Amino acid sequence: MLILSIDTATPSAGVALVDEKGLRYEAVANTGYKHSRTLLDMIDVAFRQTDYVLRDVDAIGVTSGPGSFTGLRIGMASAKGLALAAEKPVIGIPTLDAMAFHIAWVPALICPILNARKGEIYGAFYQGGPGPLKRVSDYLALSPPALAETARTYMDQLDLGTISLVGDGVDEYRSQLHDLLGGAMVCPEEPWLPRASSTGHLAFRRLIQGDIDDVFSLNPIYVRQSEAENRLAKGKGAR
Amino acid sequence: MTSKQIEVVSAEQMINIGAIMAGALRPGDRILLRGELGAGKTTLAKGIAQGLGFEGRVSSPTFTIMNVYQGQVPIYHLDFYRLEGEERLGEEWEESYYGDGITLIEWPASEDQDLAGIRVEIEIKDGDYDAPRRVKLTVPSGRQQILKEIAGHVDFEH
Amino acid sequence: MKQSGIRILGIETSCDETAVAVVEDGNIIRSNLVASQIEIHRRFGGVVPEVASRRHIEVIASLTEEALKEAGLPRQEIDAVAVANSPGLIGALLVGVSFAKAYAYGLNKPLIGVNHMEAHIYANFLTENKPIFPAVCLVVSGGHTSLLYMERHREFEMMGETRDDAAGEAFDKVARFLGLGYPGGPAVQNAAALASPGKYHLPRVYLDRNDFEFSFSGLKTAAMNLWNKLQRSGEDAEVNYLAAEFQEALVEVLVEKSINAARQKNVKQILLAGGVAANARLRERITAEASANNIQIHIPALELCTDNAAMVACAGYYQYLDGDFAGLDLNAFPQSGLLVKKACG
Repeated sequence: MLILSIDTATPSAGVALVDEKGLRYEAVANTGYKHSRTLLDMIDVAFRQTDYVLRDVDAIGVTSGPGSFTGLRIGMASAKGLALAAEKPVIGIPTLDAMAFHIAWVPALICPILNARKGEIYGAFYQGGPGPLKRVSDYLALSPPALAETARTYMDQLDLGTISLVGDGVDEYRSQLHDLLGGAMVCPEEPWLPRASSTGHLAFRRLIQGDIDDVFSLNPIYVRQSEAENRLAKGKGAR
Repeated sequence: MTSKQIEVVSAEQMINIGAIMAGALRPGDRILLRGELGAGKTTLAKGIAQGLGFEGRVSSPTFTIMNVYQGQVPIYHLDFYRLEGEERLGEEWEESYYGDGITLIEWPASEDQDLAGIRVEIEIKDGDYDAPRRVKLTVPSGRQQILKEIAGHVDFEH
Repeated sequence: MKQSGIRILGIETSCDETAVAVVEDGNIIRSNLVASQIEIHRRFGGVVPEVASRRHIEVIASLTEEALKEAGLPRQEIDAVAVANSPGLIGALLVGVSFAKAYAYGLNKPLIGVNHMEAHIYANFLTENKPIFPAVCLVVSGGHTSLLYMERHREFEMMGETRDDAAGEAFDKVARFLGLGYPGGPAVQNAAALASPGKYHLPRVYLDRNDFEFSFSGLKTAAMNLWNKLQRSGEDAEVNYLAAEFQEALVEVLVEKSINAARQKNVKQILLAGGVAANARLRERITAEASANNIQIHIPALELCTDNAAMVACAGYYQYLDGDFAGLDLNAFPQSGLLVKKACG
């Protein structure tokens, strides 16, 4: 069983091939928003560098959000196109799930965060190891202080003394989050990239359980409405 | 921050002022153009692009949101007329925001989001499109040279 | 490469319509589906790019399957995938381009990147009665107003274009200013139908000039100015009469310049293209003027004037014949650089 996984949720784009033996191939291009130009080429290279062809793939995994709206749609449109044309199932994996999976063994409250602009971060909370990774919150868009407050609630509730943060939200708000969370916060020193392999591993787990998505109704998880819809909901109407 | 006002009587003069402004601009500058429909924002943008050595056609980017012109530096001509709030800060425009070009933005996001920008407000007095336009220029501190360049050619109102 | 029975899958997502079509041999429309978003955007008073992009990704997969089903073709019998990749809203274009690239790759078929405006021109070839070269094309839409000279397929000479606003943009902005609603073209046309031109006077901008340049910003401003003055003067300001005069002023310039262009190039064929080609007054006047000048006018059927994918597939067909295929790095571009790649004028 072979998964081709695609991740274009952030400025870094990734492609991976994962099977029962684990990761077979992975490439990451942290080159900013050029995904539409590079993604399909990266997929083609993945096949050419391995002995696989598209026919060998059993399902296509795609990071489904949150993240850059345009990036998510590039990944999702590509996954849908490949899935339909090559008659493969598609499996959407939420970005934050894939990021948390990357450090699932850490015995802490795990909180992957992505820079969401407008002074906010996308984040979700997970209970780390030992035992299987468990998501305990929704996918959220929060200010750093609101995130810290929510984090403390979950740490108390789950009796965890440490919160492990990963993602580009850390790079953006490192010092502010340190001020808010103090010694409870552990995070990588270097900028941390989402990985298509994490999406691939999670998609593989779903595939072997026969848990696939409907290619027609699968959609990005934006978390946020479009600004125009927000305004309309607030009764401000059109400009 | 310093502000000055000029009265502009014709499209030709609007283009001329844009071209003069262009002489004092630097790569990375963002020029925020405000004013009602028909105020002359695109006309001023045309002058700036010409002043930056672009000889081609400068037309309204309302439909596609962004035009790119190659002058002495890349010129990004954005028009957010059709966009709302956050979408005006979308990643599609990132290159134009943080790149090494000069960015002209019609219908920019709300003012407080861009204090570093050079602000131009064009007013149509009493809704009379035949009357001269009042153009208010606001530059960040350290950029008074832009106003000086223009003062060398036209009189500011006092 | 085969020379007939060539089936192109066309995909179009440049603005607020998701469209997929299958066209055979450049003029047999096997299917032509459009998922319009007009009702969705009406709530916002105009096209909201983020909302448009979200809708495109929601419907593109099912629309593609339906288009193939309606064409009665298994997907393997498609010969190439053509997609509009410029000009348009970048986020919207990227949905169609990303999908089309992956679809073509998955089918192992050639990919073709089509200029959306060129596709509008090619809407005129989706018929038995195809235009004959040389011809002059008037391209009028929300983003473009250009007169082009065409001597053969896929070669365009720019004769003139707008210096500021496009004709469709002027329609939209004036409609919004006058409170006539969205979309602006049909709104102005409907209001104008209730009145007649001449009660008010608006300028025919650039009609006195001997070239093929257009300027609609000035007409837009003049219309808004006149409206403000009428309102202030307390006179009985009749919006329908202003709409009629505005439409007439715009149409008159478009028609006369097109006829002059055909005369100067000594051609007997005019092709009308773009969303504004759906305007009834423009269709009526250019048809009358062309016939008075012994010129044959080609106007696509109404549903082929507005954004659709059959025109993309048709333009793609002529690129297919030339072997003009795109690589895996095909990207989307907001600005057309309309047809400049082949402009020689």
